[in-house]
Amino acid sequence: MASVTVSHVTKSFGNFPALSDISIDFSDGGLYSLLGPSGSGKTTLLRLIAGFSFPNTGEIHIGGSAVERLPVEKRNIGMMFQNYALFPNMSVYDNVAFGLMVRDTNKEEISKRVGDVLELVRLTGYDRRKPHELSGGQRQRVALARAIIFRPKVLLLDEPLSALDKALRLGMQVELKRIQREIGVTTILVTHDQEEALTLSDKVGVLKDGKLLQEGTPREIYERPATAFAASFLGDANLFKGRVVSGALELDGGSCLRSLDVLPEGGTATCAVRPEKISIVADDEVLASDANVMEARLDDIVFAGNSLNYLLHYGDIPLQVFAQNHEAAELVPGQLVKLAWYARDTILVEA
Amino acid sequence: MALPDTVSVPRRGPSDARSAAWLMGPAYLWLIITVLLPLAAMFYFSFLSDVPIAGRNWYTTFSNYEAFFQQEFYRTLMWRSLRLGAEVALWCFVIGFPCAYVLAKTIKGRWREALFLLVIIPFWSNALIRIFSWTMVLRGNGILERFLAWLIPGFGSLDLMFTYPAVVIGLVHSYLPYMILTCYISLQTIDDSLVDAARSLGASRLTVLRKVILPLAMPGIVAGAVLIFVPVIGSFMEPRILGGREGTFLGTVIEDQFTAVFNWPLGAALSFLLLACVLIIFAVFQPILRRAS
Ligand SMILES: Nc1ncnc2c1ncn2[C@@H]1O[C@H](COP(=O)(O)OP(=O)(O)OP(=O)(O)O)[C@@H](O)[C@H]1O
Ligand SMILES: [Mg+2]
Repeated sequence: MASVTVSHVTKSFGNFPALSDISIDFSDGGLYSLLGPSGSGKTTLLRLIAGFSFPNTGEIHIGGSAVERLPVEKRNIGMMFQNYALFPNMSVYDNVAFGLMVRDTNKEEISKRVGDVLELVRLTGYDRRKPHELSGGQRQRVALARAIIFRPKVLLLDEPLSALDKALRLGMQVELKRIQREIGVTTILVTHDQEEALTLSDKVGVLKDGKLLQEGTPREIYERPATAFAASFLGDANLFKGRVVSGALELDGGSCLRSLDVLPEGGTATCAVRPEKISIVADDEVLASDANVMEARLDDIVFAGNSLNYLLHYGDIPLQVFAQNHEAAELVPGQLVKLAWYARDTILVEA
Repeated sequence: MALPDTVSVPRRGPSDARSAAWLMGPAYLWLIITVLLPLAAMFYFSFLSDVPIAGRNWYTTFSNYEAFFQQEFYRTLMWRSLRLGAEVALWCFVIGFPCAYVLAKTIKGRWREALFLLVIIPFWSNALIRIFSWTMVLRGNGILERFLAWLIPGFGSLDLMFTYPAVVIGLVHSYLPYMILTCYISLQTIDDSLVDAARSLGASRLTVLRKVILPLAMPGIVAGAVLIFVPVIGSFMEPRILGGREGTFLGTVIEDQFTAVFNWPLGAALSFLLLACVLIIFAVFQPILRRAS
């Protein structure tokens, strides 16, 4: 096992900068998610770490030694591909054994370890099957088994679950997490599914346009997004743009929002509020002294089973509020409702 | 929920079969007239003692076939022809597979089209012209010799004309496009991520080639080899023009029977023996061929 360090890495295709000055520490044994919209450079970064291509500048260290000139086959990394990339001409056994076979491991050792790893991914008894005789989830697990059998230093996963349907994906997330814990391999996961990143990882890095916007634990990133982009990309966010007047954010409609963050005096600022932090309150309800209050017009109520999703607007700012089903008030679209939330949930973000 | 059984799979009624017959009929009729009838006539000829033309005496006999088994000469020729077919197919693979690989995997866009054109051009040029241009290249003091002499000072002389290698060179040139095209098609279907996966598992380039690319390209290689092998063992033009006295193969002997000696029955018998031999070979290798594709 080993930690991975990427420092000041840039990569361009022609004169298109796919990655600019990326520095990330992937801690030993941790599960780090690279999250970002399509085209943000996630795959590019993963392929640099794997060794399929080399950075223009910058360094990559795996387990303390520089590898940026080492080709992929010498790096001892396990990789799982989005489309599984199982060898169609080989059985499950031969697929899984491939990494040991090229390392000239002897027959008994191979057969023992294939047995062990197939048990780990819960596919015992499937060794004679061909990939086309497996379901999507089973192929996924064969691909995982194949990637970890030779005890790689690092496990790289490029959107490993995106081809699965939702139920299977949730199941595989749990499996993946369990297996990762069990073998304790440093894992880097690329995804553009924010939920997946939040539930699986110890640490998340948000990429956009080839730059690392923010990194931190899922909780940090969710609760304290640094930019408006991170706020709306990870989960939903209400964004308020306004002028800063005596320490508070004054919106065009006249409302003033308070925040615990220090707002830049005299300029404009943007604040984000998570929809579940806002409550719809009755007119006569007693509120905390530092609460932010606002009257907004209700446009629509979206029923989502266990929760209700209120769509509102304040001036020309669209708003969203999530409420648990049990506390939902009887409201009709078109009416004015009073919203309230804590100042500490009003987070200053970069626009 | 049970479906009402009226909406089950449409049944193939007799009207289906009839319309199929109407659609396919002309094609089969055409095949029967153009292929099977002449072939049947030739098969009949092969049991005659002489060409059945008025004024000649002929009767049915097995002697044409017996000749093959009694005279060592024919069997040597058969063996030579089979070897030629195998050798030409092998060289086509050795040269064509890397070409196909480069075309399918490393070259993109306009260049690929241009190179494809180069591959196809031998198909478009007239076979006779193609072969005769080789005579200019291969003869003593020809283009090849001068080129090599220019490349390596003091190279000496090289006259490949009327040798076995000349025949092989001419045939490889004629049939190479088959191998390139069939390999290209099967290589194109190999997902690049399989190569990436193999490399990430620690496989060197050679291992990737041996364990992933070659097995997956095998259907194309086998198809190309069969497409080349069969016509080459019956070929006569290249052996005659480039091989001269060294270019005696079963194909040229058969051609002689039809054009020079006027012994059609023997020519027909030898043709069918060749065909039988090919079929036997395919039958023997059937399990391997089946597994490969
Ligand atoms: N081989 C290449 N040649 C030229 N441009 C490339 C190449 N590979 C990637 N790019 C560009 O680099 C950028 C980042 O690509 P990358 O594949 O890393 O995105 P991604 O974050 O993985 O996106 P997705 O979520 O869609 O997979 C994209 O704009 C892409 O067009
Ligand atoms: Mg990608």
